[in-house]
Amino acid sequence: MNAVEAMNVSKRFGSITALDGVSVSFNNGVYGLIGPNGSGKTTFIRIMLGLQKPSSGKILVFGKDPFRSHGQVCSRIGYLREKCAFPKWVTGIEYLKHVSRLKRVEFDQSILTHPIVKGGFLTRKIGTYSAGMIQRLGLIQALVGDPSLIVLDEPSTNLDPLGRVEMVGLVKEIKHDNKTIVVSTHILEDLEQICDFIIVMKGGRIIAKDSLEKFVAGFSSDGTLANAYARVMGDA
Amino acid sequence: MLDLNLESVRWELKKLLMFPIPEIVIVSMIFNGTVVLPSIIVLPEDAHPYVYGFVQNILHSIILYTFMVQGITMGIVAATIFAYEREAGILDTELVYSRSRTELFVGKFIALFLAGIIYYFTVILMLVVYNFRGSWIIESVSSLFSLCPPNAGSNNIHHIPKYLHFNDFR
Repeated sequence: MNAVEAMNVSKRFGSITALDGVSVSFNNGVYGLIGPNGSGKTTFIRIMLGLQKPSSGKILVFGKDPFRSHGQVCSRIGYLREKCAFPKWVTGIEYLKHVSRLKRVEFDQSILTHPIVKGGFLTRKIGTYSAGMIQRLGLIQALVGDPSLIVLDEPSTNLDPLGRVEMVGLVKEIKHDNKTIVVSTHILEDLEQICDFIIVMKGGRIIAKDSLEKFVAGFSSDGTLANAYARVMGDA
Repeated sequence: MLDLNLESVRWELKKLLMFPIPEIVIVSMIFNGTVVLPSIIVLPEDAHPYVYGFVQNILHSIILYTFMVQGITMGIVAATIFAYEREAGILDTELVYSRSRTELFVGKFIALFLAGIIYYFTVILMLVVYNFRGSWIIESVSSLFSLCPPNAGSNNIHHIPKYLHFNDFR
């Protein structure tokens, strides 16, 4: 059974078509979701998480409709939202404990020693965090409960160069545990290091999907993902 | 069947009882319940002065007016918090954590209800203490020991037992 199976999924907001017949499946591995702004990446992610209902088509996450069986599906998902925000009146640790209790799992103290949250900032109130610290907290909270599917929407946003290196290290670390990881980002250098598969979206459609090696070999003249992406977007 | 996670209720309740929400709700309830609304709604004055004062202060100001004000204030506070969380994306993240949407929203509603009860009884207690001020109790108890005879001209004289009246000791 695939972790995610989307069949001809479309989403319309009034006269705007955000997704237009998207069919794709995700299984174990890291999937890079790339495309220009407004290409439908975040809308697809929201439908995958059951936060929105598709206008037409069908999507199954772990064999269930994420909108109807929201709780059963989401208990196996970790999610980092684009422009993530958290309540400012608690400390990072209190927040992570709250997430553990909501997910009804034991709070794993070892999470606090991960390099991505080093520096002891988790003991401070979230209201005092910099944008990068909030992003780091967002990455860690997505791992609470050891989810099978991890969705990271713009995980590199607001991270300093070292933070980006640590984020890449974090994804590399967890990708070996038979997890499905979906990463939506504009920073192609990061994707080159972590992705197994690339999915390119434009205008609500998938215009290319392949393994990273085949995608780069097929479209790039200099062996980089950025060059392959530019070529695909130019041809589309 | 709804399998409510008490953590969501505890979290929401903590949020609703945190600065500055209690200050806003309690001050609004006391000010509007005892100053604004009583000046708009006039009670008949044919009752005994003390009974009238008691009824106005305790029954109307506290129970009726503060209850009306609380409904409006708590509604505004809850709507503001919900709108902020939706706009900032906190609600989206919470929805992904929770076992079901129903559980999340029922938790929020229960917390709002419990916070309303806490605020209401806090205000009632504050206003009851303010209205009585304990003065007649102090006067009665102290006069029992002839330490502090109650003032004969006070309105509170009606509440002092006959055998404790100042004149009886002369």
